[in-house]
Amino acid sequence: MASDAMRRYPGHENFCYELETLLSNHPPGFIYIHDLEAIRTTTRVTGTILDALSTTSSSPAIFYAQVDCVTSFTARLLYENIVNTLVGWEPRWEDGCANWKDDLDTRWNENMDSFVHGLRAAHTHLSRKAGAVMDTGKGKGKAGVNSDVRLVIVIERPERLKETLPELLVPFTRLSELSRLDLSIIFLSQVGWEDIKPPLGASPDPYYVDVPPPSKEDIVRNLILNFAALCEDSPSSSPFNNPYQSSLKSLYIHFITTLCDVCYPFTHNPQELQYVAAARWPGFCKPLLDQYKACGDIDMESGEAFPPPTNDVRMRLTKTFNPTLTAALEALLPRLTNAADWALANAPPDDLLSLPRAQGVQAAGTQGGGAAQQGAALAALPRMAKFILIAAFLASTNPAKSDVRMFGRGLDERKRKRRATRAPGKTRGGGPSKVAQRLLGPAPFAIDRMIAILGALLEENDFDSRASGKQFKIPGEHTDMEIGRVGVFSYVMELTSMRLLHRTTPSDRLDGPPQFKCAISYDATLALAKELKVALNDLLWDPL
Amino acid sequence: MQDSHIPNLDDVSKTSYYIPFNPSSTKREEHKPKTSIPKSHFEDRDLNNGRELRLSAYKDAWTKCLGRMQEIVRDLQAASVKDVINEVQHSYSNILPGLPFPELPVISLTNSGLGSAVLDSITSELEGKTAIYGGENSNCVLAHIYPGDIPNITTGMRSIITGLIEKQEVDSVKRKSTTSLATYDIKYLIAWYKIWAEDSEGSSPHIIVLLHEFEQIDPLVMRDIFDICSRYVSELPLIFLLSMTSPVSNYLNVTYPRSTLSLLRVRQFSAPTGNEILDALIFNTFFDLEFQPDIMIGPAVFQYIQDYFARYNPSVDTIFTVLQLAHLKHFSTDPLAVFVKDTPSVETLASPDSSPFIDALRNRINTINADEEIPADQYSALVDFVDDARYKFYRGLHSMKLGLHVMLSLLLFLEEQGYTGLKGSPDSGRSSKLWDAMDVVLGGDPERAIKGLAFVARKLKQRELGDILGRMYKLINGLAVALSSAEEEQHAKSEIVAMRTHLTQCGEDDNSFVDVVSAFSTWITGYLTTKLRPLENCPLWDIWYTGLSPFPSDIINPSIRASLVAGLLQPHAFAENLDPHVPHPISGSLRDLPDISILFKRYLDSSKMINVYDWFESFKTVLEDQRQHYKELSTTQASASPRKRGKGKQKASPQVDANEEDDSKWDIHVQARFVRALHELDYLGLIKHTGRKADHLVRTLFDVDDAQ
Amino acid sequence: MPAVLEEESDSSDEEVSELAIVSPKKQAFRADLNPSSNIPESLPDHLLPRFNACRRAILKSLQCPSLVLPAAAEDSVNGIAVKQLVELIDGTVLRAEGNSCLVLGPRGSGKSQMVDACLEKVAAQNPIILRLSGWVQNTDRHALREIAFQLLQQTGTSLLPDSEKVQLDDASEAEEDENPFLDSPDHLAEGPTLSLPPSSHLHALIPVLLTLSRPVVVILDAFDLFALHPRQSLLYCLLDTVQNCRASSESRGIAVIGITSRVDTVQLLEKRVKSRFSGRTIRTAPPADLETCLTMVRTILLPSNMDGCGEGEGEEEEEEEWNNLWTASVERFLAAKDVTNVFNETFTITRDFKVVARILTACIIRIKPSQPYLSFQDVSACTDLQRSRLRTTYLNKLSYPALCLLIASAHTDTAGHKSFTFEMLYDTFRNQVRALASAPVQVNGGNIGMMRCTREAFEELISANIYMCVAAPSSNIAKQFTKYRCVIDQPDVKAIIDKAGNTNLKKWLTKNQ
Repeated sequence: MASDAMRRYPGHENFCYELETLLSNHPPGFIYIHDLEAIRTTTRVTGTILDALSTTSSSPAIFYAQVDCVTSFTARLLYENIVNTLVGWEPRWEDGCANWKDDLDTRWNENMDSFVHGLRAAHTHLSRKAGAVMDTGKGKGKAGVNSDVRLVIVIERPERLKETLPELLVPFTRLSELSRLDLSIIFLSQVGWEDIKPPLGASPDPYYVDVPPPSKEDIVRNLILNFAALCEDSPSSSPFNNPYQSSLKSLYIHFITTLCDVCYPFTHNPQELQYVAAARWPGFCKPLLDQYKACGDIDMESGEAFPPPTNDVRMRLTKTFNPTLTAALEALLPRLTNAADWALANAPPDDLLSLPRAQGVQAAGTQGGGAAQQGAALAALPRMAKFILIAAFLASTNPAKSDVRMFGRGLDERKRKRRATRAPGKTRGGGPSKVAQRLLGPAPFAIDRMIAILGALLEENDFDSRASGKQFKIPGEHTDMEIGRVGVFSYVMELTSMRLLHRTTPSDRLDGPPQFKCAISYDATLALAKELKVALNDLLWDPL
Repeated sequence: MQDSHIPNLDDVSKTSYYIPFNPSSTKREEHKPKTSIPKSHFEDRDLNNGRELRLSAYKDAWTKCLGRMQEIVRDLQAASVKDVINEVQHSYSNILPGLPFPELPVISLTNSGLGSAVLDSITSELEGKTAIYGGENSNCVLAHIYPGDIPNITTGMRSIITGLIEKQEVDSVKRKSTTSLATYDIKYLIAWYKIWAEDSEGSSPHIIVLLHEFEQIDPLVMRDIFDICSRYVSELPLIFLLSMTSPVSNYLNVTYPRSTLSLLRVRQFSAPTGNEILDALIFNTFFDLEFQPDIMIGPAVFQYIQDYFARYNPSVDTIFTVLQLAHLKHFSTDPLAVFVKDTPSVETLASPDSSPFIDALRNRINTINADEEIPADQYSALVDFVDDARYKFYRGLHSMKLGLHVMLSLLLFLEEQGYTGLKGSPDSGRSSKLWDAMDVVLGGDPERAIKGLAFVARKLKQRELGDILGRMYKLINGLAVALSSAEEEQHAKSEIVAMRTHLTQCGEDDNSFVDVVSAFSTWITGYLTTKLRPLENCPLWDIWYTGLSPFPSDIINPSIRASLVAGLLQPHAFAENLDPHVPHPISGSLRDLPDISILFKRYLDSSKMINVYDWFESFKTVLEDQRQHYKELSTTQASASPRKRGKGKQKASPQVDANEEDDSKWDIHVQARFVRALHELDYLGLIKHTGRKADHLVRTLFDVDDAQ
Repeated sequence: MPAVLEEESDSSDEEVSELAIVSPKKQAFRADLNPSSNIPESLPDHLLPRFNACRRAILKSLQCPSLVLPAAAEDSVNGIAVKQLVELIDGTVLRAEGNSCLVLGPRGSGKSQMVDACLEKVAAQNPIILRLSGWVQNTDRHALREIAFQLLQQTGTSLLPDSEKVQLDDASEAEEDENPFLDSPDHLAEGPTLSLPPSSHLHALIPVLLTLSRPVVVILDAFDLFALHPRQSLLYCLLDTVQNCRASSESRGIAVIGITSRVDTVQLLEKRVKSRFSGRTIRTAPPADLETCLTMVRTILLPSNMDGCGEGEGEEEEEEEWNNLWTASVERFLAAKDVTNVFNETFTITRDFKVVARILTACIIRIKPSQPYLSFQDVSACTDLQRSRLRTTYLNKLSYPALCLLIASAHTDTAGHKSFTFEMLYDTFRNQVRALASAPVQVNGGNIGMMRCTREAFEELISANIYMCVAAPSSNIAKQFTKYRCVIDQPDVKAIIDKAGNTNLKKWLTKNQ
C-alpha cells in the first residue's frame, strides 16, 4: 500500500518496504531510523508511509504523530503535540486553544506519567472511535491486548532531547512498556544511536533501521520526478517564459544529469542539489524558449508542445552553462546568496542561441557570489575603529611576550625580524608540534594591552593624518592623548556590540581590565591594513 | 520618580550613559531646566537679560538649522526605506518555483550611519501610521523584539507571539492556561492567525518580526527560532526584519551554520553611510543657495566635523551634536550674538543698565568706520547700522555661495577634462573637491586658487570652452531667479552670452579664439574675486560667523586620563564651587586643595614605588599647615562659617573649635582622611597593590607634566 | 509491483558489495542452493496469504519471545523463578499475606514478562495492581500521585484528601524550572486533576492500602532507582505496610514486587528499609546455552497457529503445502553451518535474547514473495546491522570534501593534536593541495573552491556527530575556531577512504602513517 511512496521516492524502496512491513504487523516498541545524508527526505518518506498506513482501513488501525524536538522545545510542547496529533485535535482560537481532553478531563501535559495517562486516554478514545470494544481492566493489558488500535510516535531529531530534555530520553524509549499499549516509538535522526544512548543501559536497544545515502542515480530520478509536479502547479502564463512545462522534460532530464555529474561529489543532499537546479534551470532553458519565441510558429492557444531541442542545441547549452554550475554550487551551497537572486543575477542574455558561440559562452558567465567580502564591507567603519580592529587582531594573534620586540621603538630591525620558527610536522622531541595561533583562533587579551598596541600603531601610521597637534611637545604625547579618548573606548564597546570584537569577561565584573577577543578574519584584517598602509605581516609574530 | 534618573547600566548595547547630576542636598532648583545659557566671558558688557535673549536667539537659529538637516536626512534615507518596504510587501509573491522547501524570508537592514530615523519611518509606514514611501496598503502586523526579549527559546518565542497577538486585537477568549496551548507554542500563533486572517479581508496579511540590534541576540537561540518558524511558513507568512549596525554584510554567513541559512531567504539592504551623508548635510545646509542659515559655521568647525566624522563616529548624530555645540558656543561667547536674528528695541538698549553693552558696541562700530562717529545717545543709528550690517553679511554670504557653486562646477568640469584640480590632486573624487572648495572659500585668501583656475582656464580647447560656458550660463540663469539683487548676475549672463556668440564665430586655432579664452579666464577671475570676498570683511562679521574660532573638541571626545589628572591637579577649574559657603580660594596653594588632590600631588612627586608611611607623613604636614591656616582664618573672621574641603562629601571636617581638640583626636582624624583619600585614588585606578614590598604601593600613572 | 521487485534484486547485489567479507561464503551457499533441493526459488502466488500470515505470526512472537520454555520448565532457572513467584502472589491474593520480593536478572531475561504472566494467572481474583517505574516516577511524590491515580482508575477513589489540591497544585508548579503554566492568572481553576501530594502524605496513604477491599500487588520496575530516592521513604512505607499486614488480620493482603537488573540492589537499601524487606530474591536468567537458544529460535520461526486468513475451500492443502515448504526451508536454514556460526557468535557476545530477536526480525522483514526463505546473507547482514554496529557500515558514502576533512583530521591526530579547529584542518588541506596540485580538481573536472565546500561538509560532519564539540558551544567563539575531536579512529578512516577508492586521497592518507 506504500508502493506509491516507493514510486515517489526512488532509492528508498527498501526502506519503505521494511518500515511498512514492520508497522503493519507487530512493530518493535522502539525503532531507530538513522540517516546520515538526506534526513529531510527520509522524514518526508516516513510521513508518507505513515499517512498511507493510517488512511488504509486495516486491523489494527494505525494512528500516528510526528513531532520534532526543535519545534517542541519543552516537555509540555512535546506532550501536547503528540497527543493532539494522535487524536487529530486542532486547537481553535475561539475556545481558547484548549487541548484535547477526554471525558473525565485529566490534565496530561504536566509531566511524564500524566502524559502516559494522556496516551492511554487517547488510546481508549481512538479505539472507541475505531468502533472496537474495550476490554475491561488495565491490569492485564500486555502490549497487544488492545491490538485494534496501534499508536506510532515519530520523534525527529531526538539528539536534541539529549541536550534540552535529557530526563525524557529514557521514558520515551521505554514508552511502549510504560504505557502498556500497542505503541511503537520511532526515533528519526541524523546521529547514530550510539551518540545519544543514555548510560547504564537505561533504555533498551532499538531496532535499527539504517537508510543508505542516496546514490547519484536515485537523486537524478528524484529530481526528474519532481519536474512533473512542478509542471502541474506552475502557472502556465505564457509558454515562452514558463521554464516548467512538460514539453521541456527531455531537456530537463539532460540538465539534471549533467548537474548531478558536476555537483554530486560535493554534496549528497538532494535538497541542496534541487536548490541549485531551481536556481539554474530557468536560465538554462531560457535561450531555447527565446528561440521558440523568435521563430514563433507555435500558436500558444492550441497549447501544442514545443519540439524537443536538437542535439546540437542541447550540446551547446551544456557547453555554455557547465562552468556556471560549479559557480552556482559555490555561491548557493553556503548560501552566499539565495537562489532567486542568483538566478536573476546570472540570467543569460536574450536570444543567447542566436549569438555567435564564443560570445555566448562568456555571456552566460557567472557574476560572482553576490556576498561582499568581510574586509571590503568593513570600509564603512571610521578610521579609529579600523585601527582598533587591527590592534585587536594583533593582540589576539601575537603572544603577549613578543609585544616589546614587535612594537618597541628604537629596536633595530634584525631583532624584530627574529620571529617564531615554525617547525614543520613533528618536533624532534616527539611532542605535538606548535600550532599557529591564527589556526587555533584568537586569544583573549586585556584591553590595556590592545590600547598600548593601538598607541604604537597610531604613532607609526597615523601621525601625519591628524588634524592639529600643536600643543603637544613631547614625542608620543599626542598619541598618548589620542588613545585615552572617550571615542576610543566607546568604539571598543560599539565594535563589541557589532560582534567584531568578543568580550570574554562578564560585563558586570569590575576588578581587573576587561578581556576581549578579535572576531574578524585574517583576510579582513589584511584588507584594513592595506587601506591604512599598515604593514601587517611585519607586525605579526607568526606571519603567513 | 527617582529611578527614572538612573539609566539601565546593564544594557550592553549602550556605549555611554547619562547620569544626571543629583546632589545629596535637596535643592529643587537644581532640577528644573535652565532658562539661560552659560555666562559669556565678557559678562561685564552683557545686557542684563542678555543670556535669556541669546538663548531664544540660539533656539531659533538651531531649530532652523536642525529642521533643514532633518529634511536632508529624510531624502537620504528615502531610497532604502522604499526598497525595504517594497521587499516586505512582495516577500511572498513571485517566489522562484522548484525550491526543495519554502524558505523563510529574512530582510536584513544594515544601518550604521543614519541612526534610528530609518527604522522608525519603516515601522510607522508598515504599521500604517504614515504613507510616504508607498507602504500604505501593506496589511500586516509587526512586533518589535529586542535582545532582552530573547534570553532563551521559551521566553523568546513567547515574547514574539504575545508581541504579535497584542498588536492585532482579535476578540480574545478566556483560556485555561494549564489545559490549553502554551503561549510560547507556535501552534497558538497559528490558531490566532487563522482568526485574524479571516477578520482582515485582505488576502493573507503578513506577519513581521522586527529584531532590533540583531547582533546582540544569541545565535544559539536564534537558530532554533528560525528553525521553528521556517517549518510553519506555509501556514504563517512570517517575515523577519533584522536591524543590524555592523557594516559586515555577511554577518549571517559568518555567524550562523549552513543548516540554518538553508532555511532562510536572506535579502540585504543598507542605508547610505559615510561621506555621502556628511557632504549632503554640510553642503546642502550651509552652501545651498535656497537655504539661509542664521549663523555661518567657520572652517575650523567644518574641519573638526570632517575629522571627527571620519575618525571616530560616522553618524548623523555626530554632525548634529557638533553643530549644535558650535551654535551654543557661538551664542554663549559674545554678548553681541544677541543681534543675530533681530535687533532689540531702542528702549532696551536705552535702558541705563545696558550701557556697558552699548559702549562696547559703539566702540566696535566706531573702529570700523572712523569717518562718521556715532554719538553716545543715538541708539537708532546703532540699530540701523547693525541691521545694515546683517543685510550686508547675508548678501556677502549668498554671493560667496554663488561663487562657490560656480567655482565648483568649473572644478568638476576641469576634472572631467582631466586637468588638475585645486590641490593638484586630479583623482580625489567629488567629496574631496567639495571640501577643498569650501576650504579655499572660507579659508581666507581665494586669490591663489582663482589664479590657478584662471591659468588652467586659458588652456581650454574650443569645445571645452563651449561646454563650460554653457554650464555657467545654465547655472547662473537658474540661480538668477532665486536672487534678490540680480544686476551682477544679469551682467555676468550677458558677458557669457557675448562670449558664446563670439566663440561660435571663431575657428579652433585663429587668435580670435585665444581672445575668447583669455576673455573667459579674465571674466572668471573677476567674477570669482568679486564673489569670493572673505566674510571677515563684512562689518560685525563675528556676530553671524564663527570664523576660525576652534571647536571645543574635549566636550564631546575628552581624553579620559588627561582630564582625570587635570581634575585632580586643578579641582577648582572643574567644579566651580566646591564649597557653597566660601568663595573661590585665591591662592592656588596646596593647602586649599581637597585631600585627594593633595595626596595626588605627593603621588606625582614620589618614585615608581610609594612608601605609604612617607606618603602619610607628607600628607600630614600639609594638613598641619592647613589647620594652622584655618585657626588664623577663624580667629580673624570669626563670623565666617567653618570651611569644609573635599568635594562636598566630607562630613568629618575639622571643627572651628579645632584649637581645643587634643592631638590624639587630630591624629586619628588625619589618618581617617588619609585612608579615605587613598581609597579614592585606588578607585580611580591610580594604585596597584603588589605584595612585593612591605607597605609599598606602585604607581600606575607616570610623567604627566605638572601643570603647576 | 514489478518496479519494486527488480529494485529489490539489484539492491541486494549492492548489499553483497558492501559485505565484502561474507561474499565468498555466500557464493558457496548459492552453490548448494541448486534445484536439487525440492524447494522452489520463488513463492507460488496462491500461497501469498499463507506467507503473510506466517510472517505476521513470527513477528508477533518475536516481539514477546516467551523465555520460559515448556521443554525446560522444571529445572531451568526461569522455571523455578516462575514457581516461586506464583506461590508468592498466590500467598498474597488468596491467603492475604504481606509479601515482598525482588525479581533479579540481567536485561532481557524475561523479568517483567514473567511477572505479567504470573499476574495473568490470578486475574480471576482481580487484585489491585499498582505499577510504578523508577524511570518515570523519579521522586516519591510523583510515585505517590501515580499510586493515587491508579487507585482512582481501579477503585474509583484516590485516597488523597481533596482539601490539599489547590495548594498542592502550586507546589507542583513551583518546581517547574521556568514555569510554563503560569502564563495567566486563572490557572487555579482546574478540572479534577490529580496534583502532586507532599511527601508527608506518604505515611498517610500507603498504610491505607491495607484497608482496601481487594488484595494489592505493587510492582516496582527499576527497583534500584527507587532506592536512590532521598531517605527511601516510599520503599520504607511500602515494606513497612507489608510487615504490618502480617500482623493485622482483616487486611486483604499486599505484595511488593521489585524488578531490577542491578545485582547489588539489596545493598543499596538503608538498614531500616532492609530490615523490613523479606530479602527474598527471585532470579531469572537468559537461555543457558546455545542449544536452548537455537530451540527457541526454531520454535519462534515455526509458529504453531497462524491467524489471519479465514477458512475456505482448499485452505487445508494450501496450509499443508506452505507449512512443508516453510518448515523445510527453516530447517535447512538452521542446519546451515555458517548460520549456526552467526548465532554462536551472537550468543557468545551477549546472552540477551532480544538481540537474537532483533536479528531475526530484520531477517523476517527482508524476506519477500520473490525470495520467501531465510538465507545466510540476510542473517549475516542483519547481524552487522543489529548487533555489531561498525561505523564503517554506514559511513561508506561520504561526499568528497567530507573525506578530505576526515583525512585532515587523521593527520592532525597523528601530529599529536587530539582536538582541532576548522582552520587547522583547512590549513592541512591547503598544504596538501599545494603539495599535490591536482587534488581538488579530481572530481569530474569540476574544480571548485574547496574552502566553501569544505566548510559546508565540516558542518555536515558536526551535525552527524562524527566531529564532536570539545567545549560547550559559546557565541564568543567564531564558527571556524570551535574545537572538535573526531570520533572515528584512524583504522576506520582508512577503511572508509579505501572504500571511496580515490587514489589521491589514499596517497594523502598514507602520507600519514
